[in-house]
Amino acid sequence: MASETASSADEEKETLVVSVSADGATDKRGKHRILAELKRLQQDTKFLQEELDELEKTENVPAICKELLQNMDSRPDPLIPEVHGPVNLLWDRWFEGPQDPQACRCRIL
Amino acid sequence: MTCAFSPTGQSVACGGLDSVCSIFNLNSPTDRDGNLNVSRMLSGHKGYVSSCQYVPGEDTHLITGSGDQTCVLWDITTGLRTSVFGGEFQSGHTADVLSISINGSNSKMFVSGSCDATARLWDTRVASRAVRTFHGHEGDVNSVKFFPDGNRFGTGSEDGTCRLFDIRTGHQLQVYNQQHSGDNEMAHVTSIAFSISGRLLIAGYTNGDCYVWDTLLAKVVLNLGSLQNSHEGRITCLGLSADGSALCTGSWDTNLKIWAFGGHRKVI
Repeated sequence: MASETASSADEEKETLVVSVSADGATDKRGKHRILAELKRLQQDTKFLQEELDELEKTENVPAICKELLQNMDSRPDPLIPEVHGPVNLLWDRWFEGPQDPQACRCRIL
Repeated sequence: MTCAFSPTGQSVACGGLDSVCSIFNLNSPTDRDGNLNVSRMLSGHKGYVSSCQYVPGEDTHLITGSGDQTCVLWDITTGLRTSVFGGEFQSGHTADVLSISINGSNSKMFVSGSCDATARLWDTRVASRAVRTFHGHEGDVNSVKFFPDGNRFGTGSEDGTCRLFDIRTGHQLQVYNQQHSGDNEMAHVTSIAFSISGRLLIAGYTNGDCYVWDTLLAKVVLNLGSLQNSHEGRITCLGLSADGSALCTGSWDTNLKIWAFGGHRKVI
């Protein structure tokens, strides 16, 4: 149950006192802040509904998965034992140790 | 909490609990203690800076994610915010933003992951609302990373799973979920990365595991955490080298480790 009291003629000091929970805690946010939050929630609801409407027109998943597989095969991957494409010798530079052993304490395990 | 190299490698950005993203120019002279001075401070966030990434191809713009629930596109030259995504009066995340990833194929698009358990896709030209919101995770989305082709992205979450989403349709294409050995509690995913082809998804976990997933089959092909010389603590970050030939992992055990394929390669 809400009651509205105006402590002064200044609109910025007007507060809306609302009981929001069972233990009787009151919400003393300003009216404008509450309205702004409400507007944002309404906006979010509208956007979610738009996304749901769009989802109903969306194509099935298998077409996308096929595209994914074709895409993966098009790029040589140094971390995979079977490579589609030429091997680059630079991929193995990590096993050569640091360029400057004096300055670097990294070690090959 | 976060750091990033600029595309040319001339600058580094980093951000954290001071709510500021600091820019360092690597060509500047150091002081007599060998420290580099900050060349620009990007101030404006009202919460910690959790993640940052330079816009591909531009040393002058970067995007940050923050505990104040917003993402921001910055003009580093002026130090000003070009756009703010989300926040108090705009549609956006409803909890801390923990991670962002910019699309390497279309730098106008980026994704963000948040404690509100969603990932959101943004167009930098339209700050008023996310292009799409991706639901599915049941906990904080700690890490987001675009797939190499730019049409999909992966997520890693506090709920212990990684997921793969398609940005064009919103489909959740795959879930990566496996019980970790010897765990009574679910291990959270802290960080993810894709191999250069996207065939492998690497995920770091709070229990020190680092699973290499087959992206298509959703099967674990290797656990770096079970190998000799593996990390002895939580994996907190990981990333691939630019040519995809090595993975670097960082951990609470204070070590950074570099992993590369050392076996025989077969050319198909």
